[in-house]
Amino acid sequence: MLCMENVTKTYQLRRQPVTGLDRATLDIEKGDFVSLVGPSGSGKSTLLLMLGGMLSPTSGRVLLDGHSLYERSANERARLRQRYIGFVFQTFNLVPYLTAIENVQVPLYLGGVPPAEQRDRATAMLQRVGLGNRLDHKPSELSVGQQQRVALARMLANDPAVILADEPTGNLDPETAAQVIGFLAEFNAEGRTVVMVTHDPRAAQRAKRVVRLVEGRLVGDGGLTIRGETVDRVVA
Amino acid sequence: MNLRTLVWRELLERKAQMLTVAFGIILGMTTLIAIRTISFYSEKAVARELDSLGANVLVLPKAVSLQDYYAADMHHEVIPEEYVMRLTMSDLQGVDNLSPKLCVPVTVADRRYSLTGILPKSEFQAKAAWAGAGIFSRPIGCGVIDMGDTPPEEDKKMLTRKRVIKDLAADEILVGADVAARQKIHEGDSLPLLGKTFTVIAVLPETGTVDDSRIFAHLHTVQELSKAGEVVNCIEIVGCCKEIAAGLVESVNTLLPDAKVVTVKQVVDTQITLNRMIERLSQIFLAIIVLVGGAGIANAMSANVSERRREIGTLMALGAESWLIQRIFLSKAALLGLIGGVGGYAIGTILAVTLGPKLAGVPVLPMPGLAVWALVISVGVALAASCIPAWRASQLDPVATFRET
Amino acid sequence: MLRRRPSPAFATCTTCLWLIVGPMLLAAEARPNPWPVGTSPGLTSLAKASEQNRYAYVFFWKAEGEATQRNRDAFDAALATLANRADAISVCVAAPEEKPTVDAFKVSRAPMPLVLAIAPNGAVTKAWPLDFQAATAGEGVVSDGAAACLKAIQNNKLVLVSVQNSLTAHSDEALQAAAGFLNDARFAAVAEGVVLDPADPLEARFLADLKVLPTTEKAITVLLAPPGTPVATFVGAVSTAAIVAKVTDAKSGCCPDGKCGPGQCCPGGKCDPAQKSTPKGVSK
Repeated sequence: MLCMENVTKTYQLRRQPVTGLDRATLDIEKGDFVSLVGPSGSGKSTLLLMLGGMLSPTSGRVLLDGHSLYERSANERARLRQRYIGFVFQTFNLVPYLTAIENVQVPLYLGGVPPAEQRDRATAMLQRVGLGNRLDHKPSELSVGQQQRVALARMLANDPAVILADEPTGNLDPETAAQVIGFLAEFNAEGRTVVMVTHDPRAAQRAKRVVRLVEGRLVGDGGLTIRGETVDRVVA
Repeated sequence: MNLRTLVWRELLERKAQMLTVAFGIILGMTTLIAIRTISFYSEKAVARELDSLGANVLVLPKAVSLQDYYAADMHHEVIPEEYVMRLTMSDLQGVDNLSPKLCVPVTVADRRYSLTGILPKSEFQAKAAWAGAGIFSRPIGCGVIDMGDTPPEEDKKMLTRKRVIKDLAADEILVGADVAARQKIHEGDSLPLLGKTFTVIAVLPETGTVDDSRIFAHLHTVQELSKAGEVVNCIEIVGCCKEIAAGLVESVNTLLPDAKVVTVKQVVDTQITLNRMIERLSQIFLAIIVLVGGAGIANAMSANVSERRREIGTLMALGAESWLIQRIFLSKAALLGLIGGVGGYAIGTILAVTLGPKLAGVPVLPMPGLAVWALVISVGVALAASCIPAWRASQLDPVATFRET
Repeated sequence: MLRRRPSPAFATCTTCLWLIVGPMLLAAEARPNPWPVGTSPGLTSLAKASEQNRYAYVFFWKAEGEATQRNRDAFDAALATLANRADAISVCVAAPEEKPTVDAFKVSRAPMPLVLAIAPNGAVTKAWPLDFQAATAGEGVVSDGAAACLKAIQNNKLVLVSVQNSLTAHSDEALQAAAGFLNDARFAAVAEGVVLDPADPLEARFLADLKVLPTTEKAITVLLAPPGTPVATFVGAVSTAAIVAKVTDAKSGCCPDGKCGPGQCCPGGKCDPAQKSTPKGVSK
């Protein structure tokens, strides 16, 4: 499904080169649930955004279903994202002036879905995440847990094959976090591929496999081929 | 969900910003529309004056400078009435239609009006033929004849239009439209003025000029009552032909060296100059609006893009292409331009219609055609000013926006 | 009313015409005295001069002064040379007894001193405001035809001048047309007719002013309107309808209410004061 081939990402920070990712190679099968763990600044979010076609590598390739992402234009990648990939962010990133249902309708609008069908599907998504009675509430009128559930509904709206979640429970209390992780597991059980960046060990445990990053390098994965490095297996 | 909803909901969310930008556009467009509307009607009035009065020549005291043709007699300088006969008895062509005037202020029911003494044509008409048999050899001239078969009532009512009246008795007056309306005067009424009782023989039709506030009486009666003597404030020579009128000026100057002779064109020249100045001013205004207003809009849109960086990044993450991001911002600009254009046209028109008559002395009406012009400018400027901010928005790195907290 | 200036050769022909169009034409009557007698010294003198078929030159003055004296001297000198044709009358406009004279001529506001030459029929034939030149005094004596026209013009009437004699072609038609116009109810009160013989040497100057050649082979009809400008000239045969059409045209034409523009004046569209026209009556 998703594949990274020897991907390196370097930045220039105060004229000093900084390595975000160092020769990372990763294969993620369809239907997999991968958890990316590691200390802060280890490159987890960088890797996730690269998988989502949002951050181009300095070298190496990223493939989605065999197609190289970064040999396409930015607009083509946007179209691919719209069709195949759903994002979940730590800070939810809801549009503050739109209601819950309108936020969920945004990806449907971007996908060219007719307005009447938009409303029906958005309503169904919100009902699925338990917010059927909060359709017309703006994010400022919802709790953080509810906002994240709206974000989940929005992510689901276009029925993505791949879900990329960046610290989805980072701002949530334990109960709500468990609820969100439960939803992600549910989506994975439906056959969607989930890649989740998390600090939360309990969240990481819900994944089928865990990939660890340290200082931009992939250092361990159950069932993952790492080239030229000693593998530390992490018990799932 | 569609583009319109995205744009409109965001506008409503940031009302203060919307109002500020829209207000700026409205202010600029109001000024432009008001200036253009007033100057259009002012120019039209000048053209109409030139058209209907273009062949007229005024004989005035030398010390007088004239801004308004219709108020040519409203000053305190005088010339001898005998100038009228000098003109009539001369061999100058085209001076047979004269209108000498003497203007005296009067009060009727605590309102001040102008009692204007006029000399009926019948009192000097025949003298035009005193020049001798040589008159028969003059060129045809305007070739229009007056057989005197206009009914007296019609002749009197046409005073303000034709500028000349055939007959008027010593105790008869004609009353301007405004005077009659305010004082509730009708034909046949009596009106005491300066100690004498006059009979109102006609109420004149409305002209939209200062003539509406006049009361016309026989010149000699007004001279007698005001003890002014055998003088007039001006002599209006009602020409029938611009070519003849143009040739008159020099001849009349020679005949009456102690008077000033002006054509209507010279009188309206001031107005024409003023109109040209206003036209240039409106062009400068347009330039200022485009530059300053445009810069303001560009600034506001850039700030809006900065405010919405995370939102833009999110939309991109959700699959929005760069052209859609641009369209969101340009649509917002167009909508603000539309609001500004419509509001500016409406307020500008109201201002022009209410203030125009006071400022320019002409009636002003709305000009629907200007609405299109206003919209084109306001939307055009808003779009042009928002081009670069919109493009910048579409080129944002979504990852960078997510890194910002 | 139709006034004619008879000449011997013309008399026989016009007698026939009178018989043809008699009912439509008024017979020439003795000219009434235009001035009332006994109302003022000036008007009495004018009446006397008219009765004696003499011109009257009236010297109007307001107050003694250098200009009045200068003009009076010139007036006296000029009238001495015109003694066989004209009476000299002096009127002080400030004198109460001369108010009727002043009112009759409406000269109370005229520039003074003013000299008027007055024909026996009451027409003012020349005016000299402020500056009377003895050398130009003779210009006040005009032909009877000119005086008749001036009188009508000064009464604010149209004048139809029929220039014809026994030798001119289309005389009958022209005279009939003139009579028809003068008897038309629309114009009877505002128009007068004058008939002139083109060969009459006394009318030569007047005819030249009307641009009519004395040797004209066709009858010419000239329409004059106040203050004396020729409005139309018809050569040869003309109909009443044509005259009426011309008057209607000139009345309502291109310059109603002074709204004239360049190139719009006058029937025909030309209004150049400097435009010269060729004399009428030249045979083709």
